[in-house]
Amino acid sequence: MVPEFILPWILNLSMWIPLMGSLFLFLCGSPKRGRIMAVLFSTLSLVFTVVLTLQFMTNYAASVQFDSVGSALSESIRLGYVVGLDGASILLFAMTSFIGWVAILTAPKVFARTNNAFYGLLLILLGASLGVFAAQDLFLFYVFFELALIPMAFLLGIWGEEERTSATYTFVIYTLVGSLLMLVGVLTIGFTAASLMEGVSFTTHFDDLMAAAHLFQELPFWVFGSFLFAFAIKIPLFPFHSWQANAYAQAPIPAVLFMAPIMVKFGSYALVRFVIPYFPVLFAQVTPWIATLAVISILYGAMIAITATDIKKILAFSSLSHMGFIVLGLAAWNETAIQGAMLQMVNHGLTTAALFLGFGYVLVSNPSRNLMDHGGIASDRPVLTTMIVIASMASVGLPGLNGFVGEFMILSGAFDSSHLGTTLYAVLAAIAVILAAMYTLRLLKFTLFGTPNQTPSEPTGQTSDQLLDQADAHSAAQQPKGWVLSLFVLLMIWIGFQSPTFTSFSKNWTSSIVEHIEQIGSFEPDFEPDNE
Amino acid sequence: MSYTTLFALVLLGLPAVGALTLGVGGLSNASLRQKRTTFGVLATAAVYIPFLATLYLGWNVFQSGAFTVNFGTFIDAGRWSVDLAYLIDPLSITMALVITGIGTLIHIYSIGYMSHDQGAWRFFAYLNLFIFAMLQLVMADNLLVLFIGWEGVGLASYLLIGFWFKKRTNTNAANKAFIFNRIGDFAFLVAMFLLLQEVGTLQFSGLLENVGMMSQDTLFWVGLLVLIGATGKSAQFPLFVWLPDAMAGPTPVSALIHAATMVTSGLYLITRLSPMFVLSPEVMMIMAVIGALTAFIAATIALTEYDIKKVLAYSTVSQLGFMFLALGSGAFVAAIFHVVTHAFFKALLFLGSGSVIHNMEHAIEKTRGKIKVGENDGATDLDPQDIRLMGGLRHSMPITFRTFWIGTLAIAGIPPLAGFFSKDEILMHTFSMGVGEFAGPLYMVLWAVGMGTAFLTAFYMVRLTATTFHGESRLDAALPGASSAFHESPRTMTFPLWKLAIGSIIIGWIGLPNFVVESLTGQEAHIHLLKEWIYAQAADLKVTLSYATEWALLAGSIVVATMGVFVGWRSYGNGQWEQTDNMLQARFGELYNTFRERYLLDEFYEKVVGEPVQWISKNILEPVDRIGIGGIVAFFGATTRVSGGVLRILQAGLITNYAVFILLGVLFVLAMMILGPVVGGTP
Repeated sequence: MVPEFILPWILNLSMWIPLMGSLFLFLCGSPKRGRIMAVLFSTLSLVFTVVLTLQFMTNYAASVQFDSVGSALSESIRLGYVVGLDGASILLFAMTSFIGWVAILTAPKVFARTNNAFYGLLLILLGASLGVFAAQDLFLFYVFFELALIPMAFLLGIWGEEERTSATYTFVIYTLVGSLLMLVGVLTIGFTAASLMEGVSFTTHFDDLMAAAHLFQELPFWVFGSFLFAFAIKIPLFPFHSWQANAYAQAPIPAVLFMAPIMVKFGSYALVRFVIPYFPVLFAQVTPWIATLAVISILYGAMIAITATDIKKILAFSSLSHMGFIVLGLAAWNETAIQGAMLQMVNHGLTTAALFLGFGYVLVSNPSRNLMDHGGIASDRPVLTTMIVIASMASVGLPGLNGFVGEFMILSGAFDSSHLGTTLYAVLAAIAVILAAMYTLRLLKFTLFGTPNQTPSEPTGQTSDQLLDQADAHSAAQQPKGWVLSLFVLLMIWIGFQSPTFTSFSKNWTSSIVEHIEQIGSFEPDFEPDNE
Repeated sequence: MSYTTLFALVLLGLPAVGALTLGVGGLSNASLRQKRTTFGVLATAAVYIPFLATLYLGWNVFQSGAFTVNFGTFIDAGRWSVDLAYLIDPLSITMALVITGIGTLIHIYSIGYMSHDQGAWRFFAYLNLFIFAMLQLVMADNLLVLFIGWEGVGLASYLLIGFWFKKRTNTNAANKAFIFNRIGDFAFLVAMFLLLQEVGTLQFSGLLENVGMMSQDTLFWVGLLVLIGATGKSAQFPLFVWLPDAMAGPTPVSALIHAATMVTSGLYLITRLSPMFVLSPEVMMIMAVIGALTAFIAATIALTEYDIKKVLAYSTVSQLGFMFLALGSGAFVAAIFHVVTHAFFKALLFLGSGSVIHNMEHAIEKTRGKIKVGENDGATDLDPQDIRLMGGLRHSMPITFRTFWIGTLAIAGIPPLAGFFSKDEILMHTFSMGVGEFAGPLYMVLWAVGMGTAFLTAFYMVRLTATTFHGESRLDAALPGASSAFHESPRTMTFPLWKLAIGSIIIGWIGLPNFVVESLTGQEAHIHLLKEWIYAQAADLKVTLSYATEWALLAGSIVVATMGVFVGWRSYGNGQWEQTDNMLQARFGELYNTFRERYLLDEFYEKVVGEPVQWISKNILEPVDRIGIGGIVAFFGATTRVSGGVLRILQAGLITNYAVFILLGVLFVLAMMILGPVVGGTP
């Protein structure tokens, strides 16, 4: 379809257009055109991504596609700019591009105080997030991972709601502590892997590391632990989730559209893409612990959401609960569960983004985050109501929509998992189907249904200036109808009925990685996994 | 594409197309929403055409046997995969005929019923969505596609119960229905996981071929879990509490979803898996006990209700209990038979009640319009569904009156109306189990409970009908002159009533008891047409009774039903509900109050489940989480050097500069990595 040699260029452009575009916005964008330029850049990026995705569908390869290698620092230090997409990353890459595009497109509808700097930061976020999924070098992954943190800290710290400062502290420091520890881990395995190669003293290329994975099993546990810790915070996994609810609640909606659907996937993607493949034996040892934390996350998040009153926090705890499913799927580590977890990463992204955007439309008209101050939206805004209801149903796992397919695969995989060794995890996690219905329907009851509540009791978390701004924006925008959400709904239904179209992307990759791990398990005769 | 595939596609797809068209049409254009009749007609067509397609497919199955249509893979999970496939066989055709046939009539009725409602466009879109989901459920070739329909009907039910969303109690009822169904669905999900683990397939034919290889434990657990799932959906004890509340939805919804079709899904599922269930007598026994218990409990509550729709709701629960008793007695054909007959007479009764409510509402509103403000403050409290305010409606609504009586006699089990044949067949099977080897005495008790409940059924239905239509109008006492505003419902509403009334009379004849002919001619008879049609799908246990016993049971059924109607008429025939109910209360005392308070089941759930869950969430988990966050924030706040630095940057207001600065730094690192060759050469 597209000449082969162009594809790496397209991949690079889809990442670098937003990154460079942001520079353009900071330096010379006229204030009026900021939004148009941002939309233009992100649209270009989306178009390129679609081309890549369609191209990928011609062979559904397990190996890395569209790769471009920018060479290493030196012959002995194999650390460099290597990007490409494989079965594990392509859908997440596409999802990021799509959600980022929607976030930038809808920003003025859900947030009043946008300006060039705001859009510039969103563009960096988009480019960096794409980079995280495209990186084929662990150090490059780390750079993009950190790069994404910076604009988010500013978006949250400057444009956030009243308690933005403390939310920013916890968010930044939590993530930073995790990732700095991880850096030490990266260096350790980089040197270890190099010992296999002649004339090389350090390497972080994914391929090199994978080839040396059997060596990592004998490294001290903390090396593996540093990765695990960093990503447990990012995902987040109970009890490392403390940054989450506040950050979601305080951040402006366009930023949340990156934070909740996309950035948490950095963690789960890293787990499946390299943490588990590099440390399969060590991971097998901690599997019961990981699965236990995952199940606790699922039930704990759901239980808190049942009585929470802050709309954004309810969505945050719902997200905590749903991310737990993904981790459980990875812990179960069989083909069914991994495939389910890979799909669920995309599903969670779409559903969470749709819900935050939908409620963003709600909050822009009535900025109180307390759900008791809302009501009767269904009377005036039937389109928005319909979209929110469908997205909520996807979130509670209604079959026919996307969420069910992923959750069913995860749970049936976990039920049958020899790694977990017991059906208990899956059965306990499945209780969440009841709890999810409880908190989600409660949220809908108080916001969408009933009669309109015109007198917000006590506007929470916003200064009067902000309220005025938002009220202006609200009258100016004449209450966006919410048709843009139908894009999400279409994808939800599509995945819901035709999931193989989407699981095909990761199918070959998953079987090859499962095979790889079995090899490592038998590669090390000296190693005794039970001897901790 | 063959004709059969095409017709299957029409059957499965057209309701979805209808729902989508109506939904998107209504959403996109506010003025379009006012064309309520157009919406209704389109919605009706989206159900009637599939009805015709079902007839064609049925004829095909009759001639050349069952077949499947496959629309590709639904889920591919590596170790197992599930197709988006549909099974067209006698059982699914029977269900599809009921759904689309009665569905069409109820759609027509709704055109009249919803003609004044601003939300009619939504209503018809939801109704089509429901038909779509229900057809997914009964046509599915495997448990997972069935589950699409299973929860899809739950969604439609949720949307329609909460249809009038401005009233908080309606939304509460909708949520309750969804959540209670989810409890059952949880069990259903675990059953599917277990089947995937043990058998590796969810396809019906694959499962049923392998039942012989499943261990007794697996059979028991899968059976029990599926049963729990069915208990939620089909409103059985102890999960039935959502169904009476579901009456908050518009009455056509109650007729279609909460009487004729959706609530029978559990029975359909168990019948579909009947070859598996019969291998686990313990589960069969539990099922029979649940059924009998539900039938009796619901009937006693119906005895004391004053809301016309709630009486019918408890009556539905009770009849569903009969059907579960049938399943538990190994009478799967009889259960499906009762599903079919019940669909007719219960839809008829609900639509009749809708006609009555429509009339009452109209009369109350019209009369209140005449009364000057302040003259009658009590008028706002009048509940158009309260039978205590009715009475004497036989004069003003003759069609509703006559058809309602037909429905009452049919459900009471008076021959030759529909309910008699199916109910008699169920009780005969239970009696047969009672003289069998496994748990015989228990089944005998269940049979006695069933007979008692049959009597109660006739009794409370006559109570309802007599109090509504006979005696003198009592609305006048509360609202003077209201009865002069009474009128019969429009043609779109009475037409379905007549159709359903005819159905309620004759539909029972598709299941005439074979033994009647056999005992006379001494040869094997085949006059039970339904059994001839679906015997291959329903793994019935054999009835081993003598002809004399069967005749005696038949006579017993007739006597009990007639007694029920007779006693009911003597107690309520002249509108003397007050005296009779007071007399019953005095006679039965606390027992009667237990019925009246619905066995306090709602309160039980609230106290034992609802409140503890909320309490744990609010008083344990929330503080733990908040203090966790607070503690950490405080900790980092104390390390002022770090936070002060961040704070200063944030408050400097020169964010653009900083961002550019940082971006440049990162770009530098990236450039180093990209331009590596310049420094270090090729890798």
